[in-house]
Amino acid sequence: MSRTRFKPVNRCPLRSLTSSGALLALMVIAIPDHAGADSNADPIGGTDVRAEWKEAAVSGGPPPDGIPAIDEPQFESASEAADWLEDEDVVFGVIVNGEVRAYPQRILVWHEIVNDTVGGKNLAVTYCPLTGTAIGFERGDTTFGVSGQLVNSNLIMFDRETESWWPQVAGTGIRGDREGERLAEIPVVWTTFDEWVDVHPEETEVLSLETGHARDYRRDPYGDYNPPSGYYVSDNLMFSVLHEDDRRDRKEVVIGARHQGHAVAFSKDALREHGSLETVVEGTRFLALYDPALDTGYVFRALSAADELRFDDLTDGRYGPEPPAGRDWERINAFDAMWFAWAAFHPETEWVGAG
Amino acid sequence: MTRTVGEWRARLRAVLGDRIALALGGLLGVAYLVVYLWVIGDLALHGRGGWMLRTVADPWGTLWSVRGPFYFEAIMVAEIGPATWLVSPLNLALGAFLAGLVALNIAAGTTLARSPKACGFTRGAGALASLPALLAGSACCAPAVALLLGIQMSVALLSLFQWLIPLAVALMVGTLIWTLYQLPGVPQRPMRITPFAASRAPRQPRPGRSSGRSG
Repeated sequence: MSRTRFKPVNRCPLRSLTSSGALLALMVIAIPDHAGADSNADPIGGTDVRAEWKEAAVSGGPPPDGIPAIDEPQFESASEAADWLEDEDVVFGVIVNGEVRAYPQRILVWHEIVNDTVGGKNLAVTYCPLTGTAIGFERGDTTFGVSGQLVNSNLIMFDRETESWWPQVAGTGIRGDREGERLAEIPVVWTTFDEWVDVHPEETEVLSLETGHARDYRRDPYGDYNPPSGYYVSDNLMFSVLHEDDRRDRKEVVIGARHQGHAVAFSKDALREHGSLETVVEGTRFLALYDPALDTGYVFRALSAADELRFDDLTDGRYGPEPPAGRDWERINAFDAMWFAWAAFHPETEWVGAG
Repeated sequence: MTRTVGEWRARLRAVLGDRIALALGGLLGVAYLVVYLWVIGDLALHGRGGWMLRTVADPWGTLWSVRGPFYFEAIMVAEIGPATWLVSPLNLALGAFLAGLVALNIAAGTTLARSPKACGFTRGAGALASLPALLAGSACCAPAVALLLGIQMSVALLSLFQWLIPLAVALMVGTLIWTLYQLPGVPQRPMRITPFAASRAPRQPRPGRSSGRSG
């Protein structure tokens, strides 16, 4: 049997052109701004796991909002912040649509959540001292607070609109109307004040001490990062966790990333030493690249049979460095975490430590 | 009953009138208040020199905000020379109340110690009772205390911390009452008559009669 070759006849070119233009416009609008804002909507943990987290939640002592989130943050220039911040003090850097902000760990250790608007996006910049995790979330029209509850030693947030519970590392609702929903993540860079200002000298705004609360911001109740001491370096945990993994030391810092059920933890020390780390998890190729200027790492996943990607190839995107257009790589959100906390939430995680 | 109340008042006045006891109790009470504020994190020794006051935007609304068990928000940051003080009127009031109990216990214990009828146990009881009050200062900050002690928090332990202040108050009130009871002149309960006690207790003569047989 011969195959008939079909050749379409365009009887209405103008309509076709209009339709094509509309379709193209729809495609552009529909493309998620994923290079940074993690559009992976899969919840972390299945129904059973989330129920386990809810059951395991314990009070850390304070009542809801006993650790008050900062709802009306004030900012100052880097030179003004230099009056009270030291060069090696930890800050959490955020870039959204060209707007650059730094949130000092010395302030966030007392508040854990800043409800802010950066680059036109409503964000919650969150920090959990006990798990060493700084994660940004799109908050929409609501604001987030500290519930006072912990799971796996990790901060459980609540949204003030529905009072649903959200463990920070999971970013997934475990109780309330929004149970099972996952928050979109915004990249937050764990770095130091001088490193962040060196890379963004003119445009950086720094969260100021005018938080509206009376706190001694020179004091950290858990220890210090400059230099590291106390809880942050000891092997002790303050609260028990659901799952312990002795492959690494509890407080070893990893850069964790996940995509569609796969979790990967890159050793920050190894990444610093080798410059890049790569692994394949069930057919998905993950790549971590080290940024020496900020002492941080970015994680990418290959979209297809991608070629090599190097740090020098990256360009400035909406949320910071991203692969140039046309390369088969997608940046996925990653954040620093203490190993024990990452493993507690992701018992099946891959650990990558050697180049 | 009226006389019993009067006796208690007399014992208390005796303590308050004992200048040495009062001075010692007052001194240690003030020291306790300072330590209490330090333990709960309201007082720290790292000011920048000079002085500075910074109040929150809504002092009256913030005043009543709870940060933890028996632990309230500060409404002002005061830097006074080398010290930084997070001023919480409610934390200060609670600390002063505990310090007052400590002071009274120390003072009563001192008065009793100077009394000839005191025994070793009762002399120290007042001071010992104030020790839970120090732990009580950590009730707000149980996780931080656990960190200091290197122990892991559990739900049971966290619940225990919430009861430290009421426990400390109960212990100190109880010890104060017991110490006052031991002071000379407080009515004693009638002694039980046992063969041993009867042979040892001196016979008291009845009014108008001689102590022994004549002749």
